[in-house]
Amino acid sequence: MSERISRRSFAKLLGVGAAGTLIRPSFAQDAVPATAAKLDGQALDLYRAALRGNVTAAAGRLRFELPENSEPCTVFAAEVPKK
Amino acid sequence: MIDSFASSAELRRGLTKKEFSSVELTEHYLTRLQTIGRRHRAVAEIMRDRALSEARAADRRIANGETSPVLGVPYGAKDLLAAKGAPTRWGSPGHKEQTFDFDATVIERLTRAGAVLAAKLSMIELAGGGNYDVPWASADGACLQAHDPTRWAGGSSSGSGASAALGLAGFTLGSETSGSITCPSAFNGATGLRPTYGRVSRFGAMALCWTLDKIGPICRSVDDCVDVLRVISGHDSKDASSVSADLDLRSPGKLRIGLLTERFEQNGAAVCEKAYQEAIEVFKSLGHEVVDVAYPEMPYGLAVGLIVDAEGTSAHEKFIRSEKLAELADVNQVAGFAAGLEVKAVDYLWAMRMRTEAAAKCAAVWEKCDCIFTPVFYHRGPPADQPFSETWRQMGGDGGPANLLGWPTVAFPIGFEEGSPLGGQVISPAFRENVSIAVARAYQQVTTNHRIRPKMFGSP
Repeated sequence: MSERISRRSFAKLLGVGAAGTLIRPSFAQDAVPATAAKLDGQALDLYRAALRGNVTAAAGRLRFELPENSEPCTVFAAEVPKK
Repeated sequence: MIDSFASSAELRRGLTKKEFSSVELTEHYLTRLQTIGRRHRAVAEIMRDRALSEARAADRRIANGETSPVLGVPYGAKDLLAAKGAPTRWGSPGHKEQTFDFDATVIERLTRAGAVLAAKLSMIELAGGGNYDVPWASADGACLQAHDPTRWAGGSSSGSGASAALGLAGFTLGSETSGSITCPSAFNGATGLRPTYGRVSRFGAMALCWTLDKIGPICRSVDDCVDVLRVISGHDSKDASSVSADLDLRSPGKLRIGLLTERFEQNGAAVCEKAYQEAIEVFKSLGHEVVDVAYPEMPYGLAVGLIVDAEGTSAHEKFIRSEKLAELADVNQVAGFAAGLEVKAVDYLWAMRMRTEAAAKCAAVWEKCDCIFTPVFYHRGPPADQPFSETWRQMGGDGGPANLLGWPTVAFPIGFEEGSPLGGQVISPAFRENVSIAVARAYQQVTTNHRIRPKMFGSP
């Protein structure tokens, strides 16, 4: 949720509006609120807690430094042994 | 007289000696699935028509002198695998009408080898990708443990673990993203083999995480697991991640077994510690050496969590954005999947970069040992009627890089805590299943933990 708001603010700052070219309206305006809005009391509370968990995870990962410009693993995690 | 707990070799012998036919064996297991299986909530769907048709075909092949490790043997498959002839609900109340008109590759291969698909087995809804908090996070309710039906059978391959231990089929198939084969194997006293990532085709399996999902057997012994792995492994053009690495099952000889720093005392796990130490003594008596090892300090769990959140949410995005999301049995899953939509690409890519880093650094572990032995959990499975937030205490668990790096493992029973099984596991380098298998097989040849049947069935 916080990401959506910040993106919208960012778009306004640049004068392109919330439905501007920087972001896809279906994701930024409609889809996420609709998904959250249909949650009832307990689910909504847990959803908010899960969002806080996302933020905590994002912060936690920054404590582990990766080599600058290192590459992500793509499809295969396991290496086929050399014969 | 059919022994419900017979090994696949014993079942094969009974079939070829015509002590019973595949049809008789199938009827036997169908009855058990319908009665015991339903009571334990281990069954998602019984496939009577398909099973009997395949059993008749198997009997004809046996009569013609054909052989295969699974010919005529009935099995159950986790409900995450597509199969013709029954719904494939992925354990989810939101997918109760879902059917597929094709078989997953693993099922296709088993069919070709003459195995008999008797049932789809219960599982945690959508393999638990939304962070479930209750044992009943499933369209089938809380699956009950084989040895103590007041306790949870584990997940997400709940029905597979329980069915193998309850003698409801010759063998079962489960799947693992992060613990879903090892957990139900440990809680039920079954033996589960999680293959190397890419060893077994994922085609036709529900995706939770494309880069983490593995399909493997859960059986009553490691020998049974090997019989199944021989049939289901190998390259599949329908799965880009599947590889054609040889399945070399030759015995690797004497091994250096790595031991991690365990925290038994801090977790009140004296019973598990005793079982663990006894297992180590068995390994030593078999000529293996034990050495202390440690994984490089890296946030493996955080990386796996981010990958599950990002890939799982993407795989199920259409469902998550639909009204059906609210139908999930566990509200924690509803909230978790919805929140997964907010995971950022930069977080996911960090996890995948972490994975590259972990692969490079963790290779050093295998210079010190050939495999790692560790408890699956420090305690037995929790009660089946309470949320994990109230019961999941001091459980420990591997926590290492094994799933992140696609390493294989064999989980098997090493003891009991107040009548419920405790599991250990032997983790090996990628594509070295033979190492895990050799250690577990030798252990099972000189011990009886894997043969101890649930109390209601008496001793073998």
